[in-house]
Amino acid sequence: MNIESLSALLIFLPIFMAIAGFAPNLTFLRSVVAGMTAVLALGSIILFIKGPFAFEPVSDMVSWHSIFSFADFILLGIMFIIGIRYRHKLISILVLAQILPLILIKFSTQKPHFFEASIAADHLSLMMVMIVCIVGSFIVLYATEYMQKHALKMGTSPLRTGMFLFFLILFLGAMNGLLLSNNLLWMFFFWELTTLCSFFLIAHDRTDLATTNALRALWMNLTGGVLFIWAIYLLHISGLPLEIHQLTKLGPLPVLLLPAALLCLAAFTKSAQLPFQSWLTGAMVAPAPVSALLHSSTMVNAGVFLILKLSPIYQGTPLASYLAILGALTFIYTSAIALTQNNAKKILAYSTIGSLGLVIACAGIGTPQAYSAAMLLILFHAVAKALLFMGVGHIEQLIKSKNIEDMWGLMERFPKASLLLVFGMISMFLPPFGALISKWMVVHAAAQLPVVVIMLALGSALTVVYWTRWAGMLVNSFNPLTGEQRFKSPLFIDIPLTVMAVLSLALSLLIIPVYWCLSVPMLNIVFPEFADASKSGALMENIGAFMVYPAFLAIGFTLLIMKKRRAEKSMPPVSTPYYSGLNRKDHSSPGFTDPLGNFIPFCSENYYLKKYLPQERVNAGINAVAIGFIILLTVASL
Amino acid sequence: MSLLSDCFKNIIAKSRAGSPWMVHLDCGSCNGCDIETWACLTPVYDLERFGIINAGNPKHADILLVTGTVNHRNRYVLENIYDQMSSPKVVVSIGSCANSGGIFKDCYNVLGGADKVIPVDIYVPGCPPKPESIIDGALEAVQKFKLNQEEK
Amino acid sequence: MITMSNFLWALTAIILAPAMGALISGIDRKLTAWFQGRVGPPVYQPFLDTIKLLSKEKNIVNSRQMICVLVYLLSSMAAVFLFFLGSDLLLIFFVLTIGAVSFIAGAMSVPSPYSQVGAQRELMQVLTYEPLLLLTFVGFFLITGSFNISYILTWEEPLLFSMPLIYIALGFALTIKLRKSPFDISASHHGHQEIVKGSLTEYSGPQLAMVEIAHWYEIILILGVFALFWSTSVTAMLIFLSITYLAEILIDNLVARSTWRWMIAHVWPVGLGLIIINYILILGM
Repeated sequence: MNIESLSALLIFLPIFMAIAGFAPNLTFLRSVVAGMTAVLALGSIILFIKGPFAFEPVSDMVSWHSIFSFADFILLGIMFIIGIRYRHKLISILVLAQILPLILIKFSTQKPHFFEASIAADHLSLMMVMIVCIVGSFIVLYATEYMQKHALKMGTSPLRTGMFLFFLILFLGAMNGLLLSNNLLWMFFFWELTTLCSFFLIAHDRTDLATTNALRALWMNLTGGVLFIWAIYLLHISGLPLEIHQLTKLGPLPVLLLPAALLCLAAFTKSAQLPFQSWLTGAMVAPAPVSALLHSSTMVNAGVFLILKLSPIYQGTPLASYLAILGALTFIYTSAIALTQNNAKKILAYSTIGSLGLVIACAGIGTPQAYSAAMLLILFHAVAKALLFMGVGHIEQLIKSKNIEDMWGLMERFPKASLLLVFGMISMFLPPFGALISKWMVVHAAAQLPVVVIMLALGSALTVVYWTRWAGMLVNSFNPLTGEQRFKSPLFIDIPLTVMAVLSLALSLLIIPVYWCLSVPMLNIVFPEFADASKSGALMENIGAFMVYPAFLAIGFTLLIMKKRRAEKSMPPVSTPYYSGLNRKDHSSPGFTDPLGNFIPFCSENYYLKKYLPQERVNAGINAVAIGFIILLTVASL
Repeated sequence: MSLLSDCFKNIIAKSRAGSPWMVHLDCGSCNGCDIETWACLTPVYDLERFGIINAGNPKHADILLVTGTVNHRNRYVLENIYDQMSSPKVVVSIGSCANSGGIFKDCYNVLGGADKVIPVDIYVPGCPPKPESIIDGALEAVQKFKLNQEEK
Repeated sequence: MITMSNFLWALTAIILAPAMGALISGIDRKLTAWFQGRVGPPVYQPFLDTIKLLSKEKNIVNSRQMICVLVYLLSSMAAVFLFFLGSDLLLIFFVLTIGAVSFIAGAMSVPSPYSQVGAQRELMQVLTYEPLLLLTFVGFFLITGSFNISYILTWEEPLLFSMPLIYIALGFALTIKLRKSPFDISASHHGHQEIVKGSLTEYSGPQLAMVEIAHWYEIILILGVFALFWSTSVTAMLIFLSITYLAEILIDNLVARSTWRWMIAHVWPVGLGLIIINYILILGM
């Protein structure tokens, strides 16, 4: 199979398969989705092995460019109708603000563009395509099971569940398209397609809250779309190429700076960076597969992808410093707010925004090391977050609550699910897992910029606190685990969760090969002057990565001892916790006996520091600061 | 081989003798004995020079110091605290009340001494006993604790 | 670079560190007793305590506790090993984080109110000292241009002169890390009984001994980090370390325990302020 048809397959297969979402037969649906998962995963891996490519799709019958222009207008038309339907003036205005430059570009007197290669991919795109195809497809597989229960709970019709799956699968295609298009106009189409899909997905439950939040997501992302299309328009009227590869070859030209700034701001909306963070936390009302998909592998990654792609354009300009500061600011803010949350999905959402902030900070720092840290962070974050969101969704269905305070002692009730969840958390912030190694590289890279590194240090301490707290309460339990009480998750929930965990572990173990296959080829392109230096490897230079292995060994060793201990049944006698001598003698349940002989069960709650970090005031302050920085950023790039 | 194990036992015995940690439980004393017990920890008597630390938590402690009469209400507490100590462990009952129930022996709610509920190793007499005799009792207990190797 | 001699040196450190740590905490107890007008236990008391604890019966609430305490011990051992290997400071920092996290997870895994309160307070302590520690390491980088310990050790003049304020900030961080007064909030180290010893409540016997041994490793690691401030001559380094640790013991005995609110509200502004001023001095020079 040649590259043209393979990339067409990756984009169009999900788009056409989306219709299978309506399949009434669950088995049929699952086999279709499973088949699609296999094809996509395989296709993306083959594409990756074949390496970077660029081509211009040609067809005798139709011009692809006219098809995309036509599709643009249809898409914007749909969004305009949504604006009218929900009487949301802002949305309609934003859509009109996009149609205007689009028409101007189409009918301008400027000579038509010559497109060398509308579809192109480097290692960054290929890595992201792999993430979408593998992680994304497993999330769809998970959704087939999850939505059954969800439909029962919400009482939605099979048709609407079908719609949901339709958009979910369509999303994968749109995302692949976005990642593979080199032509900014095509990318714009896919960009808006993901916006539209996310609107329908968030609004799925049709509660008032869901609609409000979906509309908020829509208008914020449309703002990004407006910035995007005006950036294209600016490029167009200055007679610059509309292809990313050609733009990046031009390097940091003053004339490119404003379009680049606009594109970065568009990426900020998509990646829910300050001050646009509220749409992503609002999107948490949607069913878990949506959150998993939006947060880990698709939607939000589009933004950081664009920023990383553009990095040669703004390197060394003030724009880069502002990006670094804004990214770090987002990181510390979200980490602090996540500390005050007790809603599991909100914690995950804030942590996502924070990690993306870290990626953007890396892009702003712009050293080879920072760049590879950014790539690795995207990869590990996607896998770990998919695991966490799917796990939380599953647990939410089991215990009917999103509140982490209701998750005390979950290990006892659902050992495997909570173990996987704890693993996901650990892989977010502890060595030897990949996410931390990339964080380590970030600090290394950021050490020259004290402002950024101070924010990173505070932010990372905060992340340690909220993850540890949550993981700790999950493992809290009284009784030793016995075989009888083991709970078995449904197969189609179990498989995606396990696959993500295994993937995360395997990638962390193989961090050095992963680094060589993903980051090094990319660094050679982005930083030609460092090409030789990266041969020796920025990661190797600091030897630390080699130390990852002893850490693995230590963990393995511990587990082995434990296993052996278990096997030999030499577990020491199990005693009750200390309750000042007022515990029950029969080990039945944890708690005190009061003077009248009544039993008072143990309960505990976490510190949330809400008093010290009042969310509204922090939000208002930080948004003002972020807007200030954005104004500075725009002024600096004029 | 036996030489090595003897040596090993010796080291353990020495360490135990040098580091008995105590937990103190007041089963309803008039506080006389408690005050005298706490006095042992002050610089004047300095119990820590024997390596004794007041652990405050049965899970960390080796010696249980009991004061006061044991009654129907707190016998469970005493049992639970004793159960939560890891063996080897020794119990010292301090003062007449803990030894036998003292003047409250015949009260309707009093069970009698601590030995009605848990095995007591050392009895320190007095109402209240002097700090010197409490220290003496604690050190007697240490001798028992040190030799208590088979229980492990 | 990792050489054979380096490696052997690190291995020796792993074996000797607990003995040194125990001796230092024995001296600590003796001095504390002296300050309080007591005779105090013998200097080798910590050895006795630990051997005794190891010889006692195991008594745990759940199996996760055992894993957690083992990971805690292994991580502090790994941190000491990496330190004497001359490795990357950031890496050591992250390895220490594993230990801190697993210590908290161990305390949180038990449904015991005391242990829970201890864990929550320990979290606040981690929150307070982590940024200070990380920023101190960045301070080393700003001056020497490397995070690598073996490179930092080759620096020609004592780093204390260029980062005196960071030294004070690190003092805060390490007092918190060692859980010494006024920051012995989560589990007091001496014979005090803060909420029956907070996060250590549910450990007993060998598990408690392992926590103690891990603590000794931590003492050595922390003294090692302080040694980086004056690494030009061995004698000077030893004097410097003795003064630093004496000051620590003195503060431990002079001040009362604070609350975690007070800790965050004061240590962060003061510590970060000192670090930022020092950064400005470094970058301005």
